Amino acid sequence: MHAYLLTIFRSIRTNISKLFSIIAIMLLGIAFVAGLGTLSPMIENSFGNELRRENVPDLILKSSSATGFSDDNDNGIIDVVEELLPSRLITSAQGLTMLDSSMFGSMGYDMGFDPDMPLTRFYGIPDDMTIAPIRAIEGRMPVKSNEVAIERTRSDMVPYEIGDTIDLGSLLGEKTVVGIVANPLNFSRYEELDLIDQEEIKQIVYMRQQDLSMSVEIIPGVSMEVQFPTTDLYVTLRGSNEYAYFTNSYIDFVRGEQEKIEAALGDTYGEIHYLTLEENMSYAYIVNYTDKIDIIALLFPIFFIAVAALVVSTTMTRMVEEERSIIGCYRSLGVTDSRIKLKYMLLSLFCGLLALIVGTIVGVYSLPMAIYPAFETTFFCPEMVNLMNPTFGLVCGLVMILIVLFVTYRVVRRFLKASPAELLQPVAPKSGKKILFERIPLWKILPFRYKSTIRNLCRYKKNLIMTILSVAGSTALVLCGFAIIDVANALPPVDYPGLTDTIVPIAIVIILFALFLSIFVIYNLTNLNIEERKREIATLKVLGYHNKEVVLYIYREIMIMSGIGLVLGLPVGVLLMYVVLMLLDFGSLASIAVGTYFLTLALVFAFILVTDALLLRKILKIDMTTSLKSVD
Amino acid sequence: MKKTMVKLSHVMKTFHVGDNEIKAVNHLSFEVEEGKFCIVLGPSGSGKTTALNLIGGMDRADSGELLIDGRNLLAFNNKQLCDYRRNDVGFVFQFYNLMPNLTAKENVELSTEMCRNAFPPEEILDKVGLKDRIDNFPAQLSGGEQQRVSIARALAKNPKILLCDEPTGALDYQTGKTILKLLKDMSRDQGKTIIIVTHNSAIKDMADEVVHIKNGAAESIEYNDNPKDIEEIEW
Repeated sequence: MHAYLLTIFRSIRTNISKLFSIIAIMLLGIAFVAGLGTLSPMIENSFGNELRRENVPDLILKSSSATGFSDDNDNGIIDVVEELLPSRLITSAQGLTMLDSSMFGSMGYDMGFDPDMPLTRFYGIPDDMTIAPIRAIEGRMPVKSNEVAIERTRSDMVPYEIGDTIDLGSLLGEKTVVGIVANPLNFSRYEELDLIDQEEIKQIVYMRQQDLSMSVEIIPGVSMEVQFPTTDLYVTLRGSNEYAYFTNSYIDFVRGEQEKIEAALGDTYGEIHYLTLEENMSYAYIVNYTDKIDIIALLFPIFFIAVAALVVSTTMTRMVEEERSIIGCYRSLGVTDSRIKLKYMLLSLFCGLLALIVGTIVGVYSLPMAIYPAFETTFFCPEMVNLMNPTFGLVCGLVMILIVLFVTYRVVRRFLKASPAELLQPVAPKSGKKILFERIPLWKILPFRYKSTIRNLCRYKKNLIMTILSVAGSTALVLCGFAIIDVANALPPVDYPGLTDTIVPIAIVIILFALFLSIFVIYNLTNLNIEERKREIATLKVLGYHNKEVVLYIYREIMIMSGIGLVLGLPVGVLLMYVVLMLLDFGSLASIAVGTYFLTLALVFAFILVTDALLLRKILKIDMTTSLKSVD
Repeated sequence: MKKTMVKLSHVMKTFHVGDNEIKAVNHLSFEVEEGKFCIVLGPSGSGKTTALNLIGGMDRADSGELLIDGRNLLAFNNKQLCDYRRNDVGFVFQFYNLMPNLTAKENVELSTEMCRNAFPPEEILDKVGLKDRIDNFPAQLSGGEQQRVSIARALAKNPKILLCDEPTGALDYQTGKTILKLLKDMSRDQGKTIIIVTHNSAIKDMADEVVHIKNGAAESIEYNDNPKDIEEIEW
């Protein structure tokens, strides 16, 4: 048993470069999938925690009647709450006034606004807010009737500084800005839209609820201070904290409770609109983004896993094939078949588990770190809460491990069917044969070295197909990455605010991972190619081929295979992109710039060149005396 | 007096294996005249293959003098060594080393297409008796036929010297004999200098010169004024 274990460790040592590339490719795929998969939960958790901390309302009841929730005694809110509390549907409630400058006219008020005044939203807020409290992030909250606070600016909003005065029309008068505030319900950096025309709000003004009032001349000479009605009732629902924000179950729960509230209230208070968080613009953006990220996180991994599994399987096959004499030796010594299988299965499992663990950790940790800062351009981001959800990585890793184990099992089984004597004999080199291509007249005038190259391409068909598929896969992924950026940039910003900012870093991650994948794939396949043909290379050197000629003899083939893969990768990429766009439900293939195709080709080709350059030394180092040894 | 084609004097080659120093070639000295058929004899591990590698420019001696047609290989840079292998040396391997994906003719072309005064491949293949097999791939040829292709490949570039490493080592008795006869005929007809490395002492009588190597040095050198025909030799 001791010697048997020793052979396993020796196998690891002799095949270290192959095992390393297997682990690297699997690790890359798993890290990518794990990282993408953890993005949505990370975003939802980060923002969800913040919403919970700020105690945002589950429902906003909006009254569109002239008196709102106010009545003559100004305690209409209390009435509503008193009706709802016994039903134990809500845990707390809070009234406030929210009016857009575009609404006053339809309500029959002439506020005397300057026609040039930007579209303004007015908040009249109570002193002690407990639900989604407005907080000063600079300066302080207003405490006098001539003071206002302004919501932090974003995009095209009018910038204010503390001490500025703001003209709010002849009725409200001029006010002094004493604070810049944050509203927990508005955490996107894009403008809110006004309730009448869906136009972008340019400034949001907060004042004490009692100050959002105006003098009205009741009879000539006698005026009265009239306070605007309470328009909004924020409520928190009992049991809502059992649901996580951004989930369907949360919204379903809220909608269910909403129906009960509607039934309880009837039409006592006139027409009431019920707004859940889904109708909150910031919340809706997050849902929209995470939905899109989830689609990308589901679609690309399939491609990634396919390419990685393909290459890993080839490498594992080669490794087992190279150990045929060792397998023959085991068998002639009487080692049981199952124990021989166990050795290679253990090696595969070892590689897979290592890639699974390291890949998952690296992915769930690093990708959110890289992507989350990009959200700052779109949202006022709370601190990142990365739960490091490993589900995607684990599932992807297990699928890969199963594929590799299956391939290993099949290869070893094939050898176990052969007799020990057969295995101990060296394998005859694959014979050459005439190929179809030679029947074409062009063949005769082809330079000699190209004939050899073309025959070799046809001789190692498996190698050819693997390389073409892998390069095509990587190219397609890179093209998709760039295409996503193109398409996102071409989106009308009004319909998809901020989506570009969010999607671009993800696309860059896809491109980077795809390029790394292409490096590993090309390195691995070229490495196999060189090792397989060490003897041929040594012979060429003995025959007096110069280094350059020897290198070209090997690389000409790889370049042709890569070239075919590159060119095939473009249509595959377009197809993949088509599926992506269909699922994301935006943009069109027409937005992909022509330059993007060339950029993709150039970039992948450059990476292939660099990778092959890394392997030059390996070819140059091959000892000529290798050619004297027997076939082994 | 014919000119000396190959001249070794006090050639040294040391390999380092771990902490051990192995003097594979240790003060090796011998000469071969142009057009002569020389056999280097020695048991395995005697350093004969290393000597052949040094003469063939596949490896570099540490010290001493190694003259080929008057030029010292020790003074060559890598590029010069490569050109030397390309134009001046024909190598015949024990295991043929043919490119499996090239036909017999193409395997010969592999070496002729890049050197200056090569013979037409068909002509040489005809000379080694493979006229009808020129379009066959190595896997379709017998061991002896493959070795003939290998010899044709070496000869086609019209080298100054032909180096053969155990050329009959992988062949049966009768085939081995025909290959040696072919080499001998080529040496005679074309005036080529041929050095064969082998551990088979029975064939020494067919050579003009026999160098016995032991522990990396030439133990003795015999000259046959009347070398025997290969047909007369039995082993």
